[in-house]
Amino acid sequence: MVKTDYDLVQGAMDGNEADFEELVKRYKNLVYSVVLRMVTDAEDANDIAQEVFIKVYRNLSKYSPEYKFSTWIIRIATNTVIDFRRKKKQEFVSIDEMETELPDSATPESTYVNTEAKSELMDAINSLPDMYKIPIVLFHLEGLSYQEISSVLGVSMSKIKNRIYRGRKLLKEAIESKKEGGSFGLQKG
Amino acid sequence: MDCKKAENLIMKYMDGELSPEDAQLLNDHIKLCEKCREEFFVFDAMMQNAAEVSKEVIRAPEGFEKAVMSKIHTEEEKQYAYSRNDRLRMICISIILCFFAIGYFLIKNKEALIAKLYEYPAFAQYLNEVVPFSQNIQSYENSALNAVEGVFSYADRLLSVSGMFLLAFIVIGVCVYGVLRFRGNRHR
Repeated sequence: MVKTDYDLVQGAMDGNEADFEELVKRYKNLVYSVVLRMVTDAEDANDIAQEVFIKVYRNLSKYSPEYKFSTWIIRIATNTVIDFRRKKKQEFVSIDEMETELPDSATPESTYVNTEAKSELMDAINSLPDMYKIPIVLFHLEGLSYQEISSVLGVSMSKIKNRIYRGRKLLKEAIESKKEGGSFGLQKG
Repeated sequence: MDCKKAENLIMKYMDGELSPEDAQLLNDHIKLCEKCREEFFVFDAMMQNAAEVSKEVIRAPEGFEKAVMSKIHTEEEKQYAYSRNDRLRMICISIILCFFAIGYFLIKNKEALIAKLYEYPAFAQYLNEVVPFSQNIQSYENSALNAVEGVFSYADRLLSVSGMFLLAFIVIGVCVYGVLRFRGNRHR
């Protein structure tokens, strides 16, 4: 029988390493994806995602089964990203310096247009302050509901909704200003 | 419908919560209002790009679990070494506190103890050898012994005043030792 997340948490707390390793296997892609979309740099994302799991290990006793494990771990991931950003000095980079990876499929032209649009969106998202960026990433890229984001961030649903609305408008402004003014400096996460 | 309401409907559309009636209202509005139409298309394109990005499967790098487990092991080893040093420190503190406690007990009850020891022949003989010797020393080194006695009487007074504090230190020491031992076991 497949163990539930809570079974694995209990097992890990009793010193069963295999149970914790199973939790890491289950959630590593989710955590890495959330973190990568917030910080963009793969190396930083890897370090932060590992730190998230270490924090999870240290705080297993604080997990309550009334929340989904995914919600709890995303909360730890977002807090770790915020801490990371506080520690790290913000760097300015030009869009032209950013690298994009092209998938093998699709024609070069369509891929270029598609990748450029997506890259433009991600650049705009990364230029947002965390207050807007985190709810936008969780809602539009990770597919969390307002309710889930509210429990992840510990903020009321109405505030989350306002931040997402405001964030969308800021995104639109950033994309439009990019189109009008060409390359612009972005704050890299 | 005004542009403010149209903007709210666009947001609902982006939330995936637009009812067919509202969709019709929004459609009617953006046919007539160029500003809202442009806004709608920008947001719609954003949504489509976001949907594309969210479809991309992002996988954690190779060896992620191993890296995490290895960091946890390193941390546990550090934690264990730290708690072992803590335990050692606490054992030393506990031993010193015990010496203080025993010393305090002996000084406080020395008369009664000596009287009790005289009841045993072996100790009585030993005490008979020691006491005259100390009296002998006393006769020659009276002033020095007075000073020593002064120190002892001061220590006696001090200990009787701070007896409760001493007891409290011992209790705290034992508790800290117990907590550290428990922590050490938990992290192992």
